Amino acid sequence: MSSNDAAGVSPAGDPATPASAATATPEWHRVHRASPLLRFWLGLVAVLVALTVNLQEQALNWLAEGGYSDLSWPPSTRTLLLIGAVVGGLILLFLLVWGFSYLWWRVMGYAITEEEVKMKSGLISSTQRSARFDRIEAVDIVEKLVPRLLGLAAVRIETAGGSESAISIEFLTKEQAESLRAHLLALTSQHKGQPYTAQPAGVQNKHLDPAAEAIAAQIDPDLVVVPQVPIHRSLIVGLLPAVGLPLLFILLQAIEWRFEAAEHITSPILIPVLLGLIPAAWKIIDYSWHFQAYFDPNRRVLNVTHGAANVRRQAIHLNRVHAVTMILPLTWRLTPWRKVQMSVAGYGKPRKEATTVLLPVGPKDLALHAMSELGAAPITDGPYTMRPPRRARWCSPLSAGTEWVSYDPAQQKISTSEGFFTRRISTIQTSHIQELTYQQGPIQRLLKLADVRLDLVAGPVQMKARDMDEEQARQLLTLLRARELPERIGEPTPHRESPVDARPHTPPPPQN
Amino acid sequence: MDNIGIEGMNRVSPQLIKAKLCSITVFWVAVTVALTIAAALWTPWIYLAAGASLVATIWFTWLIPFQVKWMRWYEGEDELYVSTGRIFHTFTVVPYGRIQYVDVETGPINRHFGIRTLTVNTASSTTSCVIKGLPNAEADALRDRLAAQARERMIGL
Repeated sequence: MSSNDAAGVSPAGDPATPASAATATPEWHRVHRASPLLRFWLGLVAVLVALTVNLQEQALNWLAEGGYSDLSWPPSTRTLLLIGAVVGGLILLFLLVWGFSYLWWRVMGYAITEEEVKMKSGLISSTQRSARFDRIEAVDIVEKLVPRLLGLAAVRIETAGGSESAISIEFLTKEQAESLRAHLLALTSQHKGQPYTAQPAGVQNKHLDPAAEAIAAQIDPDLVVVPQVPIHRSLIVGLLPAVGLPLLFILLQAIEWRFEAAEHITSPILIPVLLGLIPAAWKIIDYSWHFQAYFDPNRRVLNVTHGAANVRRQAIHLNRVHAVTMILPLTWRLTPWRKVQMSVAGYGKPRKEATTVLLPVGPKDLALHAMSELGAAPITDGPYTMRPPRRARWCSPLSAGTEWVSYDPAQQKISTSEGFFTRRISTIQTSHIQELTYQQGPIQRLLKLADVRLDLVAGPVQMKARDMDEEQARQLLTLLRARELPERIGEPTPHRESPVDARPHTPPPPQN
Repeated sequence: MDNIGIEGMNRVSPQLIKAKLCSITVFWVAVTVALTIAAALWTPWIYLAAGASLVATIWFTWLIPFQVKWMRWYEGEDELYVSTGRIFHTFTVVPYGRIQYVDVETGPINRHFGIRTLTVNTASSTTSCVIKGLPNAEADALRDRLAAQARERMIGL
């Protein structure tokens, strides 16, 4: 797969420096000519609207001076002149902006070298970002609404450095984006020493709409983790928060009826609440629209496609998935559905661009199946299963009955169940636990209870074994401290007096 | 690892008591004085707030020596232990191989008393591994030891 084919015009290579082949200037590939405009289209529209709003009054005054303040048919000369001026002005403005954008387009580009992929942009303050292949976590294709209408897409590269170090190559045509993504994934696998096979041929499609059905039809059923989420499910859970609205309406009407001073309070309260629910509902619907997840043939990478207005396709390396949790929010108890989220090392908090959702909405069986496909099926009957004792009801009256923790050293997995209104069941492989924290508040101290918090990488999953009996909590802490950790990747210190020997000499804590 | 074990862990420097007095007590005294002046100038109702602030001053000042007494740390064979508090008790265990980087910082008040704060950062977002009140030399030595251990034993996520 030649990277030269995956771009527009590439600037002529510099033939005068054959000696510097080792540190050769990378060959910069251009992005699509409309990219600068697309990046700033929102700003341009805002400027246009501001201009229109400011000038319309003057335009109408000018019309009125000529004695023609109404727009009659056939249009008078003045009106025609005005329309001509406006249209001509718009065309001129567009040409100007297009011409100026050439300057920005000239300095935008991306390059692929031996070790890394680079991107540069910016005319006044130029930015150059690079990502080493062995640090790339995921390569995604993001199609936002407006570029998608033009058949363009962006390639987003996530690295281990976290959210701020993500590189976004904007914008390429769909085919260029797909082939660039495949190329980068192949190079990444190569540098990480993992075998890689190209995606099944059926996935490459030329339509504007990713045609989720076409993808679904061509994937080996064995590889499917989450089949396409039906639209009605997306709509129902999107609108579920509105369930409380009739109750609110009744409550407000009752207050109005009872207290004369509170006349007409229903609409001013109800309408903003309703309006506030719309963006949240849209977000859920857009996110879960045609959501599907499937493995690549090696079962090392999880591919996720979803979206209605903003279409996203993402690839997540499975060894980066640390913890998985199944959530039952309060309003969802009306439905038989759950959602499943995961913490991916390097992704940080859940963001629009980086999916941490494995199943946005689905029946409980599907949720458990998806979790077990990832190797994170909840453990409910491990050898060390602990529940809070009865006296825990004094400090956690609601959740003490539903919390538990279960640890299976043979499988090296631990699961917790937490929460009362929002129930969460989370699982993690113990080697992914970063720190362990034993916590005890004053009330817990009186009741001889304690929490053990598992500190994990940043993500939507947080795990804590709550309100355990003190002794059991300490036992759990000791067991988890003995967990197996991943292989060492550090370098030994060179031979000199190791600073480790210079520790202050204090007796170790007595073993209990 | 339990309370008995905590006795065997290293303590932090008593200079931290003085440093905390300088920052916390001074802050609350200033708030109390400000509220008292405001009460004298405006309405006597503000005396209630000034009274509450006075109680807060006495409470936090009285609490400082206990807080410092219960800040402990210990370098185990494979892990670092940090314990804070008695009423709100937290005990953190960090394997050396999980340490990503170690910060040592100091501010003007701490510098005057010759102590530093050492923060151990892992890949987790909920880090509670902060040791305040280490004497300068000890802080630097601990940082070097932890960095060496972390480098040698670094493990994957």
